[in-house]
Amino acid sequence: MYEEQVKVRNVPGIHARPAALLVQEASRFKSEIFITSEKLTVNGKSIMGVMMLAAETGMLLIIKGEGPDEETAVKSLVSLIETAFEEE
Amino acid sequence: MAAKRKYRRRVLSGIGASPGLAMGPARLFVSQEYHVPTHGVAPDKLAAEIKRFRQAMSQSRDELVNLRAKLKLKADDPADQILASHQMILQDRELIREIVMAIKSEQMNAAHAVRRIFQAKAHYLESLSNELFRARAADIIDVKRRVIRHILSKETGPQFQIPQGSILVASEITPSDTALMDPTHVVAFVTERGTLVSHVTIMARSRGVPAVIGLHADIKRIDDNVPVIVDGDMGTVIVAPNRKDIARYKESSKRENFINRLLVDHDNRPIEMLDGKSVSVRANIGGPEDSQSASLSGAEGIGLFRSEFFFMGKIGFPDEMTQAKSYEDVIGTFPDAPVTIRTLDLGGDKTEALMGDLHEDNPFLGLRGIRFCLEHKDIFITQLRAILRASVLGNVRILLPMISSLEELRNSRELVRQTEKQLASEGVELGEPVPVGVMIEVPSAVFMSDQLALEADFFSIGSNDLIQYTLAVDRGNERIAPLYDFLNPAVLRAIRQTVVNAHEAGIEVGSCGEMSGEMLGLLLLIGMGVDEISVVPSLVKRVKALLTFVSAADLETLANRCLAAGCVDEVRQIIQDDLGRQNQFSFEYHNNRFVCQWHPDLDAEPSGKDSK
Repeated sequence: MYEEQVKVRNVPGIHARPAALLVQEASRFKSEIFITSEKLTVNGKSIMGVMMLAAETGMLLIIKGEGPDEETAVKSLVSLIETAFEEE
Repeated sequence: MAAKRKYRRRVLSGIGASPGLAMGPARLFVSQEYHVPTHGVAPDKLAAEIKRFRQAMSQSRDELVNLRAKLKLKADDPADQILASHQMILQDRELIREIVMAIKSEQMNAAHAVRRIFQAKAHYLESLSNELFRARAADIIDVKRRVIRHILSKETGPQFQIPQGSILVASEITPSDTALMDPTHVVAFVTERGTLVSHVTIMARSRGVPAVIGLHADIKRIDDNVPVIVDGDMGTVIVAPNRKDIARYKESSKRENFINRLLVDHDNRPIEMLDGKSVSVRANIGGPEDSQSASLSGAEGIGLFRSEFFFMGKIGFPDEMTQAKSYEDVIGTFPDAPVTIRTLDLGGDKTEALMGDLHEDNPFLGLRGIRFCLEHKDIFITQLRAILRASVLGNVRILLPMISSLEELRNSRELVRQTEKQLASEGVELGEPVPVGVMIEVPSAVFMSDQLALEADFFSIGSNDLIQYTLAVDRGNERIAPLYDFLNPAVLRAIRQTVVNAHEAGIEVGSCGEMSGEMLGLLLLIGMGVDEISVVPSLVKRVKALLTFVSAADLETLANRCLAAGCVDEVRQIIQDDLGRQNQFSFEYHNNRFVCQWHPDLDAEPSGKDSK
């Protein structure tokens, strides 16, 4: 198990488009991905789950990976959130 | 026309959500609400029930794939992105597992399980305070309806027949509704509900058809098959139009065609007016994604590139290279024409959230525009570095917002100069020296415009704020909305003074506010001597066409008479007397607004149509 904490930076938060990008990125990995906010924990590969996080700017999230590529997966998701989805 | 004189003519008002004009028979669409049965499932039937659910999910998915293929939207089209997100929900394995579990463990029928689980999620989102997340609830409800429809009926259900050329009238139109019809047959949309971010708005705009939304109870006044005229610019729907309405509609659509024909070869060059005066018509854009439509509109460059998009959208404070890339994208579209980038114009209301800046009681009179940039020099210099880097590719101009004193201009210019030096010392290749212009939008800048003109390279009049600050009228305040009027002679005098001082100093003066896109505003701005007009891409052609039919000298006479008037009513009277003598203009009051209509002689060949 590997986990890291990250702060949401992009202004509207992880809503429609960023949520889709996050799920697509998480789905590239073999490991199970869980994202935890103050209120709930969701499956990082589930668009519905990520939408339910309703992660606004400034919110702290814990990204947890469990599986063969857990560290790479978590790091890649953290960097996606940190660089604020800028490849979009 | 099936409906003869049986129906009374009515004019209904809503919100113009997508511009344009269309006429056709109304086709009433009633969104189907399904009765969802609730019953237990015997243990030996559970497997079949789960199969039914899985099939409905994949049928829904196929339906979306087909719809997207049929609409042929571009991947970055917001309408396509909504459909793509619905498709992702249908492929969500976690969600599918949750619903299968519910069917299994509670021996519940599939439709009921789908309804319960989707609805719980939608309700949760609806309970949030953030509007963007709340809006997602509508997507979840819509996907739910699509899946339930497939569970309940084996076939897709009867197609809702829309004859080619119909006007679709509905309470609301969601993506799942469009699966039941052929949206390409619709020439306009009219809805009871909806906002400017609703699916119907996005859909209509991306298809380039008019839409009027938010008619509320008035929607009931439209019957099936009655002829209607939809005016997406005015936000009106005429039910059972009379002969005069139809004639006017025909003239307007003929005019649109005429303008398109007139300007067919007129790409990206200044326009020449009847008496030979040449005017640059440029585009206002809000992000690099608009530069394509600006180019297609025939604009001669960008008169206003609002750089705030970085801060409104997905990214936090963007770094230098990210910004430079966006500027380069726009310059790449207009390699020879000016691209005017307005530096960050954030108001206190936005910086409070972004920067943890102090709360301001009156952000419009607070740390906004250039004041914010000079206070946060790191952010400003990052932007200047990005602009200067991009300048090597074309003809970039820097425009400073909210300048209210000469010091601010001097301090900003000094920062530009230092940044240029710094970049040069780093070995970065720079273009020609970048002109630095001033937005004239504060009365103190108007009073000081003679001095500012000596040290600025160009002016751009920001009429929206200039009117608001000159007249002390908050344009968002409905109670005083009628007071916000560019025909107020105080506003006209402020503009005239700015133009005179700019020309005296030998610099160009443009106008990029909404006044430039209003017919009377445009004519008066030209009459007062403005050299450049910048409007949203959708208005570029109309502005160009109108200017080829009028002469600058006539407009100057008109403007001079208006400048001598005492109040708004007198200005209106002068305009009506003066322009009214030309057959091509007529005037009317619409919802208490003074509106000018243009009826060019569509058979005449304008003399000054091109300036080669």
